[in-house]
Amino acid sequence: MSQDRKGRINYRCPNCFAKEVDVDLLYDKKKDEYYCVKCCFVGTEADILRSYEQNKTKYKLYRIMLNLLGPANVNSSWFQFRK
Amino acid sequence: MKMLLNLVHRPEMAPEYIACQSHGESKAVKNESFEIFKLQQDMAHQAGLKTTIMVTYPSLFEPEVVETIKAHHKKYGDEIGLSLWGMNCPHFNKEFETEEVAFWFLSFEKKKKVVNGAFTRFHDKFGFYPNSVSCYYIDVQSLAYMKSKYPSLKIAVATCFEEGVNVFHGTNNSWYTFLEGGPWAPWIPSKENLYCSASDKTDDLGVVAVPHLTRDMLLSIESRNDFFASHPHGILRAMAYDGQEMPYFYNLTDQWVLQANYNHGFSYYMIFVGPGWMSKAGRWQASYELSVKAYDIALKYLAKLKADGFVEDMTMSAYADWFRDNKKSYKEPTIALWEDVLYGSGRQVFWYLDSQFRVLIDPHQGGAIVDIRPYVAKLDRPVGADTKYLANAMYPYIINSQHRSGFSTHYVGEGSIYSCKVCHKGEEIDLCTCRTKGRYENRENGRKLTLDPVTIEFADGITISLCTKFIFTPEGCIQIEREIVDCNNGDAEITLREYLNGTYGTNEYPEDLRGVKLLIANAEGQTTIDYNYDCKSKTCQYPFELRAIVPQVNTKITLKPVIEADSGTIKEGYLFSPIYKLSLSKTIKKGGKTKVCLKIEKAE
Repeated sequence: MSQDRKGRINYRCPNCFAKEVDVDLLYDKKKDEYYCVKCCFVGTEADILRSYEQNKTKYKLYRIMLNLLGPANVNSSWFQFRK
Repeated sequence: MKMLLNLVHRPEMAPEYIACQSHGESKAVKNESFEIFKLQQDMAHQAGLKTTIMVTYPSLFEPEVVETIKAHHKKYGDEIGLSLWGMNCPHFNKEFETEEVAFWFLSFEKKKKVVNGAFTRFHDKFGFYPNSVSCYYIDVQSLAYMKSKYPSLKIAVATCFEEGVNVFHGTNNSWYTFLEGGPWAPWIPSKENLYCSASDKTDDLGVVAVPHLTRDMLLSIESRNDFFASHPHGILRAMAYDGQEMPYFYNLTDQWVLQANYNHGFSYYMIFVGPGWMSKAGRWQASYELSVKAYDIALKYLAKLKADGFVEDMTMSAYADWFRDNKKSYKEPTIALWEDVLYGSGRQVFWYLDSQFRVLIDPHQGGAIVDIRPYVAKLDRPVGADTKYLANAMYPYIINSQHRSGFSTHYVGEGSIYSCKVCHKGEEIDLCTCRTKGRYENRENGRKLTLDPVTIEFADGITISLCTKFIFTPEGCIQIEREIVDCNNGDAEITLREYLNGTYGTNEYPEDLRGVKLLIANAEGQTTIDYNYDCKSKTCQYPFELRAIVPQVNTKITLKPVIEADSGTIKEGYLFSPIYKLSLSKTIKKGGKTKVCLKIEKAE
């Protein structure tokens, strides 16, 4: 069995990433699966991408531009300014 | 309201990420890296933004790079500074006999050799010495040496705000930037410790310091803040973007503009992106195209803010001049009042910093003080291979709720935090359980943070509304005032017990508290406890002072009642709860107030 390498896209382990830890996955070409050397994650590219999307849901505002400098916000209660 | 911008680029001949991916094809790496640098410069110029180019040591051996930088300096007015990061190359390894990647970890003798070698080669290539230098961290001894030997030096990128334990963990325990406890905004360092603001002209190091990047002031304490900063590729790394859009970058940047409201109309912002972040191979899940797009989004947004009058771009040395000209005094504090713009929690944090201390107040925990760094102690903590502290460039805390627990996690009780217990008929409610928000005022007799009143309900139906104010006085005190502004029974007696659970350290692990001395004094005399993990405590009535002396960090912490307290207690902990506790109690009714003064001083 030859050594495994990082994949075409250098994905990080989604389980470690959920804990904010960057660990590059290795790719087993024969099994067409990715795995982590730090934790027990093993999965396909689809599994990884699904986990990434799931992880993003914790950022409830990541799609929202709050327009904090807009006239509607500058004087709102969102911020209390020094008088 | 204006945000002053420094945009910094760093030509590298072997950025670590490209070098890793290319399997040592150095010529290809050099070419790719140089092309990325030129692309970054082009993007900045197209956006109408000035840059500061931080030249790395290997770049000084590349005539084409040097000539390009000279041309940009001449045509666009870009500043040429010297980077003390990215120095490794065969020339560097041979000349200085080291493979160390972090300048600040070298022995002091080697640091001086590197400084002299790099400054001299810089002068040979450009005909002048740099006004600006940069690194993730520069120790105060090295910065003082540079200033004395090369007086043209005005400004340094000298630390990364709160890049420490969380970033170390996030990088699979591999990135040795132990840099917590410093300022988040530009400051004039003390001659004694880089992180401490100079207290007066005699203490002024002679160099303006700025932090590397501009961070999210909330996520800096709960997350790894390389993810959440003015580095668009950090946001890609955090996956906090939406397809080809980056709303979080806009929200973070806007909130930094708004910080000007608390700091005499001005805030500071820095973008500093090395070429490795835009490599052809992409970075993790982000393609090359997305990496370039992210940088484009960032620069175009800053250009828009400039056009709208919110941003003014300048070179680093121009900023140093501006900062010197506009700083009100050495005593002037720096303020940040920050609200979550990513998780949607509504959480707000308040930061205060001056030459005495750096303090973090968490209105989300009822106004608990969750971090204090005693700058007044001006601790002598050199780092590097020849020092006691080695890689630990953190400035110690005396309270830190993130690393050392805060509000009670289990039956052992509270960890390191300053808060208040509100008590009635045997029931105790910690203000940490009362979420609120604050507003800041800059007044002549002190800076004031006023929290919105919180409601507390007791089991017997008594309900009170409690308001908390923090006043930072010119004498270096934090006055904490609480008032029962409403109660459904005017006769109900409520006891407020202020408590400070102190410790000291730089990371999550406990340090040896033996040697700490606790003291309580009233009109009848004083009593002390020498810390020995024995659970001893002393209580007295009508105390006028409680004190903890922590010799390990040369700090004296004093808690005094401004309005007379009924009783006070000092208490040592035990090994499963390694803290020292100072507490003051007073019973009041509706309309009643308590007021205490917390002072942090250098221990004699």
